[in-house]
Amino acid sequence: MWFEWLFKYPRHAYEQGELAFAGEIGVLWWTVAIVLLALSVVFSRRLAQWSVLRRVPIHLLQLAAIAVILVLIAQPVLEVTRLAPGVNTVAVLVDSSASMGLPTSSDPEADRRTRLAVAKDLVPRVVTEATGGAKTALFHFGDHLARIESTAALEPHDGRSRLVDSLTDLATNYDEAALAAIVVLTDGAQNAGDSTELEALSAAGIPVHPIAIGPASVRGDVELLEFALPARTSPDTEVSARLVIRHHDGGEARVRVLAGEAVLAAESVSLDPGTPVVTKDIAFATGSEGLKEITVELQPTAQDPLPGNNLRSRLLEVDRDRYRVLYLEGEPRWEFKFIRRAVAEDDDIDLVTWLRTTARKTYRQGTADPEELADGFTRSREVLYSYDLVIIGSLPATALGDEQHDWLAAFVAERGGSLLALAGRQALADGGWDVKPLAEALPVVLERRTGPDAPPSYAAGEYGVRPTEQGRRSVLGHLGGDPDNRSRNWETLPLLADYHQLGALKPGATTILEALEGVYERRGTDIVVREGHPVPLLVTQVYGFGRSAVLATASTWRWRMRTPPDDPRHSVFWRQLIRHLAGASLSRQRLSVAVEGDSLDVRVGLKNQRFEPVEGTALTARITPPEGGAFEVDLSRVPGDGSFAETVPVSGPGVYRVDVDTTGSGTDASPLTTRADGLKALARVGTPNLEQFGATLNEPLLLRIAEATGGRVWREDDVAGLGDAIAFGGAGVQERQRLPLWNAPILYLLLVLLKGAEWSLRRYWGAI
Amino acid sequence: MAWLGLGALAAPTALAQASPFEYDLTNFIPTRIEYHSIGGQFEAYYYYDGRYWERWETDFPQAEQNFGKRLRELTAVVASRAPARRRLTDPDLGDSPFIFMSDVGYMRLSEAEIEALRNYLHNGGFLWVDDFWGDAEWRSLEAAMEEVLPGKRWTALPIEHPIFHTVFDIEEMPQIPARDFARWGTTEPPSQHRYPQGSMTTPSIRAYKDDDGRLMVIATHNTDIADGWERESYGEFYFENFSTKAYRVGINVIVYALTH
Repeated sequence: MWFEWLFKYPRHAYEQGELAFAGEIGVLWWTVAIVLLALSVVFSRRLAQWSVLRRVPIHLLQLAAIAVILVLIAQPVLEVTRLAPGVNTVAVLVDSSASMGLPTSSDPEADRRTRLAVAKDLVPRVVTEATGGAKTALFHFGDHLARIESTAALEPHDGRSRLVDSLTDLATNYDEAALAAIVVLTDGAQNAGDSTELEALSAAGIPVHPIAIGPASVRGDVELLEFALPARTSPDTEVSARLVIRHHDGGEARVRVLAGEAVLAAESVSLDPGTPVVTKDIAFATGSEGLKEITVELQPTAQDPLPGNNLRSRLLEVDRDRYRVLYLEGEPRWEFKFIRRAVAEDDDIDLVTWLRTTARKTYRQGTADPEELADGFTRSREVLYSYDLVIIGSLPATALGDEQHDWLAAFVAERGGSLLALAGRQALADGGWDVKPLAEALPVVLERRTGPDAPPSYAAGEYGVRPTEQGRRSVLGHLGGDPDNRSRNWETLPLLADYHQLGALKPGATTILEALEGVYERRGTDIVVREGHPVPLLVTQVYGFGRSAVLATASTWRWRMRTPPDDPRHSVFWRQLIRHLAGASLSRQRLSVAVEGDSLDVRVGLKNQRFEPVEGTALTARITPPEGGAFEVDLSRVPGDGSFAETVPVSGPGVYRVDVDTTGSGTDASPLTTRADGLKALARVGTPNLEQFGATLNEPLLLRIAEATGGRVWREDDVAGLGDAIAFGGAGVQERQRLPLWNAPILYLLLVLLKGAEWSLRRYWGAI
Repeated sequence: MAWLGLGALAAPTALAQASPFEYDLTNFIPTRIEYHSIGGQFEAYYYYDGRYWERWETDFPQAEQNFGKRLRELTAVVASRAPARRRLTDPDLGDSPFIFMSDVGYMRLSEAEIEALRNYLHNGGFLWVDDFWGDAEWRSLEAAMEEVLPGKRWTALPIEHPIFHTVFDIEEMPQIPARDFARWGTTEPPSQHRYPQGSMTTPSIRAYKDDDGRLMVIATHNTDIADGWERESYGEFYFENFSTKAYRVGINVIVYALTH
C-alpha cells in the first residue's frame, strides 16, 4: 500500500515496466542545470571559512537536490504494457471438491466456516476489485472442470480433486476471449491426475494466481497417509503391511487390520510429538484363498476432527503360488536335512534337492520324475530356468561345467531368478566360486584366502543373530509370534555354531541379519548373546533382473534341535526366506493392472521357456466391472519388449477384475505353459473418503503452479494487489502505456528531505 | 556285542557336564547314548576282555571311530574323528541330531530321559538302536519305546525302502555276529543271551515313522552292525564277510538321517 502511495503505481508495474523520460534533454534542461550548478558554486563561496569536513556534506546535499530537480524537469515516465480494457477475461476457478467442505481453520472449534464458504465470500471481491479491469468467467472444478454463472448453488460434492488438469484444460482451451489470468480459490488438494506435469500449463503462458484456503494443519488430526500391501500373497502365511501415519499433537493410536469385520491384527502405536510422520509395519495372517479387502483403521485415543482419513483399504488376492526351488549341495550335513524339513511343511514350495553323497554318487529328492536332474545337474538352460530359486550349499564349483556356470549367472541376471548361497567348506570362494561368473551376481566380494597358513573362511564358532534396521523392516526380520516379542525372538535363539567370513559388501547390498561374535551369558540351558561385534550374516542384492543372497552360516539347524518341538522359529525363518526370494523371481507370464483416473492400464508380459519374448501371438483381456457385464478388449503388442498393453476406459468406481487367457495362444516354437486358469488381476477404481486424506492446505503445489506460470499465491485475507498483478501480468491483449512519474510523491519527499537535511546541518553548525 | 562273563558290578561312568561347543558342530559327530540297564551281572553289565562293560558301552568307542573314518573315506560326509557320548538328558543332546544306542535289550529309561528323547525325536533327531537279539530283548525295547512315543507302531522296512538305497543298493539286510561267533555262522548262539526266547536267526530293520513317513527311530534287530565296524581289523575273513556289509548299512543309514 505504502509503495503505491509513494511511487504512484503498484510494484507489479515497476517489476514489469521500464523507466524513461518524456521530456527532451535539450537547451532548456542544460540551461537550468548550468544555472543551478552556478548558483551552487556562488553559494559555496560563502562557506569558504568552513572546514572541508563541513563543506563537503553541504555540497553533496545541494547536488543531490539539483539532481532531483533536473529529473523532474526531464518528465520521468514508466513505460509498461498492461491489460487493454474491455477485451480480456480473467477466469475465476472455484474448487468444489469434497475437501472444500472441511473446516478452513486449524481449530474447527474456533472457526466453523468451510473452505468453500470462504471461497464463495471471496469470489465477489475477486470479480469486482481484483481483475484489473477485465471481464470475468466463473468456473468450478473437482473431478471435472465446468462453467458456472454463480457460486450460490455450489456444493463440495466432488469425490476427487483434479487441480492441475483443470487448470491446464482452462489455460489451453478457453477461447471465448483473451485470457489474461486464472484465479483459483482452492486448498491445493490434488488426488486425481498427475500433479508433477506442469509443462503444458506453463507453456500456455497464462499466469495462475491461487488463493490459498485452508489450514496448514488440523489440530488433533491423525491421518493414515499410506497403507502399502503386496497385491498378491499365499494363503496361510504372514504378510506385512506398511503404514505411514501423520499426526498433529502426538499421543497414541490403536491400529486394527480388518478383513470385513474380522480383526486380523491389532497393535498400539506411539505417536511422538517430535516426529509428525511415523512409519509402522504390522503383520497379519493371510488366511484362506480368495479376494480380500484389507482395511487398516486408526483409532486415536483423543478425539479426531477428521476421522474420515483414519481408514484405508487395499485389495489383497490370496492365492496359491507354487515356488520351484532347486537346492544343490555337495556335502550331506544337518543344514540340508533341516532346510528340507522346514520346507516340507509348506505346500507351496516344491523343493528339489541334488546332493553329492560320494565323489561319484548323487542323491536326488523331490524330483517330479526319475529323469529330473538324472544327469547330475540341469541338462539345459530351460530346465534351470524353470526354477524360481536356486540354493547352492557346500558345493565345489568344479562340480559344474563352464556352460552350467554361465547359465547360473544368466539365471539371476537375465531370467530374473533368485539365488541363495550358503556357507560351507566348499562354498563361496573356498569352493572356487570366486572365479566363476556367478561371483558377479553375489552381494559380497568373494575373496580366496591363499597361503599355507591362511585359515579357512568357514569355521566353527559361537554367534548370536539379530536383524539390522533394514531387517526389522523386512518380513525376513520377523520370526512370527507376538510382534512385541520380535527382538526377543532373535535374542533367545540358540547360538549359531559356525560362520563363513565374507568379503566386502557390494554397493547395492543390503544386510538383513548380522551375526554377533562376542559375549554370551547362560540362561538356564540356553546361551544368550549379551553383546558382540556384528558381522554380516544374511546379505541380499538385486542383480540384473534377479536377486541374490548369501547366508554366512550352515548351523541354523540348531534353532530346531535346541528348542522345544513346538518352537516354530526355524521353520518360519526358512519358509519366509525361501518364499521371499522365490517370490521375487520374475514369472514368465505377468499381468499388471494400474488405475489411471477412469481407465485401467492393462499390461501383460509373456516369455517363453528361455525367458525370451513370445512372438506371433495375440491376447485378449476380459474386463469384469463391479456391476457385472464383462467385456473383452484386444491387447496391442508393445514394440521392443514383447509385452502387450491397452488402456481401457471404465465407467465408475469399484473393483474391476481382469482376466487374460494365454493358453494355446502362441505360434512360437516354445509353447506357453500357463496356469490352468490363466492370468488374473484386480483393480479398484476410486478410493472411498479420498478427499479426507491430505486435507490440509497443499501450499507447495500452489507455489509450484504459481512459479511455473508467472502468478503468485495469495491468502484469503490479503488479495489486495491481485488486480494490479493481473493487469501487469503480461498475458491477454496488452497495450503499451507511459505512466507519468513527475508527480510521484517520492520525488518531492526526497527533495524536501535533502533540503531539510542541509538546513539542519547549517543550523547545527551555526551558519543560520 | 552281548557277552556274558563273570566279575563284580561296575559303577556307571560319570559324565562331565558337556559344554555346548565341546565339538566342532560343522562336522557329523557319531554320538553314543549312555543309558541305564536293569539287572545284575550278565544283564546290566558283563565282563569281557579283561574289564566290566555296561550295556551302553558295547563296541564303544572303537566302532564309532572306525565308522567315522570310513564315512570320511567313502562319502562326502565330514565326520568327526572323535565320537561323542551323551545322556539323553544332557542339555546339548540336540547338537547331535543322530544318536546311537547299542545292546538295548535290558534298557530302562527314567521319566526325564523319556521326556528328553520324545522331544529330541519330535524335533527331528534320529535314533538308531542296534545289537539286541531274540524276542525277549525285542519286547524289552518295545516296552521302553512305548513310553517314549505312546501308540507308535513299529514298521518292518522292506528292502525297497529308501534307507537301503541312499548310497549303496543293499539287497538284503545282513546279519552281523560278534566276531567270536562268526566262524560258525551269522547268528549268535542262544547261550550267549540271558533270555534267548524266540528266533535269533532273521535280521531286520524296524522303524518308528513320523506323521510324514520319515523314519525317527530304526532298530536293527538280530544283528550287531556296530561290531562289524569295531572289528574290521580282526581278520580278513571277518572284514570281507561282515565289516563291508556293516559299513554299507551304516553309511546308508547316516545319509538317510542326514537327508530326511
